[in-house]
Amino acid sequence: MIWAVTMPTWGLSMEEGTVVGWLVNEGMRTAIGAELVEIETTKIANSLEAQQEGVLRRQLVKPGQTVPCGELLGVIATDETSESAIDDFIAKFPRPRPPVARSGDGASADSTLIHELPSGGRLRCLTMGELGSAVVFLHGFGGDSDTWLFNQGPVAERHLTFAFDLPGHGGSTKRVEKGSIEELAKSVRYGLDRLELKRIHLVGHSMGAAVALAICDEQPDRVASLSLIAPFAFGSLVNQRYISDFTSAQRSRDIQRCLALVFADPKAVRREMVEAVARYKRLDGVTDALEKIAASSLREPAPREISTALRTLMGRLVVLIGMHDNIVSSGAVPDGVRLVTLEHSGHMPHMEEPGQVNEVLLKHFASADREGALGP
Amino acid sequence: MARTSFRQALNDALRAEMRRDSRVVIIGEDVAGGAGGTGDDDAYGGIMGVTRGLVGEFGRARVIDTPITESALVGMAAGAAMTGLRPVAELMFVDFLGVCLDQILNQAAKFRYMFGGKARTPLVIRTMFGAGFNAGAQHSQCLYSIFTHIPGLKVVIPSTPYDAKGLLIQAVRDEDPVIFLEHTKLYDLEGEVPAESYTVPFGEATVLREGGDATIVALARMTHVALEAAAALAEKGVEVTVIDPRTTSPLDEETILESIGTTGRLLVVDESNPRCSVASEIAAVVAERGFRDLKAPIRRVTAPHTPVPFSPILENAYIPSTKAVEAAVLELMRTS
Repeated sequence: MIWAVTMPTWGLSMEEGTVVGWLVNEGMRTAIGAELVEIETTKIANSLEAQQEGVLRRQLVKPGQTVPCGELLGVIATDETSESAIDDFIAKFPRPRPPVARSGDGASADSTLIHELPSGGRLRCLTMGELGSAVVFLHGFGGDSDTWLFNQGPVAERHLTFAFDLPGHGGSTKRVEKGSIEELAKSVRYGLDRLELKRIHLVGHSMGAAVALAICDEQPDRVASLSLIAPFAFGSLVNQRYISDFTSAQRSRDIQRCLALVFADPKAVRREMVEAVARYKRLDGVTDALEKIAASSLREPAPREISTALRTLMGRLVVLIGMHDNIVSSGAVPDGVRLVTLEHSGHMPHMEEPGQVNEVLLKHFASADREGALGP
Repeated sequence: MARTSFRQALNDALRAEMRRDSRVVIIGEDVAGGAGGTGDDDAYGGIMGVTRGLVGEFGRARVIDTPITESALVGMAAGAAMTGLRPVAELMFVDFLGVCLDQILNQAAKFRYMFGGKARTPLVIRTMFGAGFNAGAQHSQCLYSIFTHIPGLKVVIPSTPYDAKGLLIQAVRDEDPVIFLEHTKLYDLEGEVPAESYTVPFGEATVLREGGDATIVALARMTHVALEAAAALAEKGVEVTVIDPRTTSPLDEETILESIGTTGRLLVVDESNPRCSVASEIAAVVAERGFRDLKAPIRRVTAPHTPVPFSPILENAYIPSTKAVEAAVLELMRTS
């Protein structure tokens, strides 16, 4: 067997990436999930994990080289595969289309949707994929749909996906009333209605997990499965110092300091990521919105009690947490709920260990879909 | 996100602030349609068309054409600012500073200080500067070092459409007199600009490119020259950091010093004349506070100490070129 290792597409805006260095030597054995090669994009540095078990037979792109998404980086093969078969595989491997062509036809399934909220503001949602059951992603405090740049693409290969920008964030309205979790959940529910999504796999990160739980409480029948990443839930506490520093930070230097706390490895924070957050934070209305949301939603510990609605969903709930989370404490995850701990992650497991998180999510969705198909 | 020209980004900023705050008014020569002219009111919008379309929305009471007398229009704007408006005055060319310097230097810049903080002068003076259009010695100068020298003024010099919009909105909202300098060759530059209003803080440099071998500090058009040189140098294996201070008063010394801490080599690229310039100031700051980090003597690439020539060939030779920047960085690498 021969498998291609290609330059991944992490998010809609990525067109190319730079190989920083190989973490596995040519001729060495790799395992599924093992870090293979370190890649840098304009947004973030991350490592690409092996999807197959075998031997890394070729490294085709050298450290420092920048190549388009989809370009062949290396080849993994089983031991018995001959050298000539590998050479043949490389020669026949299709070259990636240039970005211009890609945005023409291939990207037709990816787009930005804008809905007008009843209160007058915009609600933005990024959609990818066209097959399978629906998956809805909800980001955390101060984030936006870009937080799913390593997840939405891979998940969209098997599902119809939607990543919302919560009110006060990203490309959505910066006007919030009180900024309560219920208010944010109501906006998302409105978006789901407009999209006519009757049954969804709900994925929430941090404060987005609290929003996801609020949606469950109101409409448990809508939720096919629930995945909570570093959730602000089950009595967990938010690092108040971080919230106030992040909310008040206007200068890149201060934003950099805040973001360094969010990741287990502060070096994951690239200049471009800091700049993107700075650009968001400078928009009129953002500081005010974040202050309101923080004041009404994040000061007190998350509710500890398990709602009746959630009780019916316990078997379809998975919680993922990073070992080195400086932002949200893990809370009292109820007995019987599946808990996945990511060893090398801080508060952003879905960005820090995307391979593992994506695998957990996809399996979780698949098993919920199977149960759903069997019927009650 | 929409791509917008530098010119349109400025127009968007002015329009948004005029909608937000009825105290914002525009004062200048031909900023509406040209006083006394017979054409369409909205057709002109200042010499570079930056204020085009504003008189149609806001009327002549808020977009005020003045006679050709910079001393009067800048004085008028300073007085209006002191008495409660938030004027944005347009000085067609920065070279005309000569006839309104007292209004800026001795009046607007001093009010807050001399009245014990009780007087505010929320005034913006927008002005065009720079060589490259064969406009001759009286219409091509940089002169920002003169403003930077004066306490009480804030001096803003954007290099991209994104920065132009955010810095202009910040300037209008600022409580002090701000000199806002627009390079003549940048008006048609396009870049991504959010449709919403936002501010870019003063005194915060932006790092346009990162590299470990040398640091280039440059402003306005020279940032683009520096970036071109940086790309060419990268092919030769030399990686440079390019920093745009964006405002020269206040000046973000920390970002420059931090970068020197990594690279140990400084080149300042400046289109203005070299004596007592922003380039000399940045060199002095690094010599004073970053000397221990330096691996090579500080270099400057500037215009020569002459007026801007009218001859296109000489004007080209006058403006710092990509080649000159590249050569200076290679020289820095050799002398260390």
